[in-house]
Amino acid sequence: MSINANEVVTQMLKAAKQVFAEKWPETQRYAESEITLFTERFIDIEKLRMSGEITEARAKSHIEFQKQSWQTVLLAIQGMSLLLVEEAITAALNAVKDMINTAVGFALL
Amino acid sequence: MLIEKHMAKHLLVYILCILVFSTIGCSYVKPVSVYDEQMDKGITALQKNTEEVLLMIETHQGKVESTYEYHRAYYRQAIIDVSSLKIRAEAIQEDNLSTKMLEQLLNNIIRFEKDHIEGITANEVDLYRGGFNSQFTALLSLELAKKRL
Repeated sequence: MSINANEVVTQMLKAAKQVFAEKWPETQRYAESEITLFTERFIDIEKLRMSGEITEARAKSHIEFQKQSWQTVLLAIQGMSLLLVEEAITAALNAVKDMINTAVGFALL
Repeated sequence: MLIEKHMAKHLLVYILCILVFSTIGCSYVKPVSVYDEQMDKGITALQKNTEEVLLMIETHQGKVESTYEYHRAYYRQAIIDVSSLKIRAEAIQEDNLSTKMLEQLLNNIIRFEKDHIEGITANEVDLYRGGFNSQFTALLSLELAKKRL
């Protein structure tokens, strides 16, 4: 039995797209929500400095604190995206598993 | 004709093998390690302890309960706990994202301690709370994403 390359590509793309369609909006919402929170915090730091409640040195310390925190969020988004790609690849390979195994005559995938 | 067909089949298997093994090979240098229940529990406990300290600083201004001296043990324990989680994450898989995230959390605990020694006002507490919660949520979200895979 020969392999229909077009059919393999179509099935793999369909499976991968389904994973992204289901999971990506969740990651996107998380990123958007964190961006809003960090923006609000930077505004609060400015307000505290302008009112004289904190010194310039403390304001800088708060900025550094938030920068570290923001970098942690970015790494989490990076990790979640990588996991999503991995999940999409697995789904794509699973989608054509039977077709490929039947064609080659043994359990390749 | 039959030989050509046989050779074509072998060539196809060879190409697929390269594809499959290169995919598997790439997964060995994954920057995202496997789900770790200890990380999940450790971060959840640290979030609770940190919130207790923040709440006391916020609600007991001017009293001994808001001072650094009163919470000195929290800082010592938090640094030990995060360092342990970091070593554990590194042992599970070298140079992974969780290790870097824990390093950043550790940096913020040290900064929080330094600021607390100098004094923290009630209006500043939400900035620490927000920043820490973003870090705890980031670590837990990544851990839960690993669990789902």
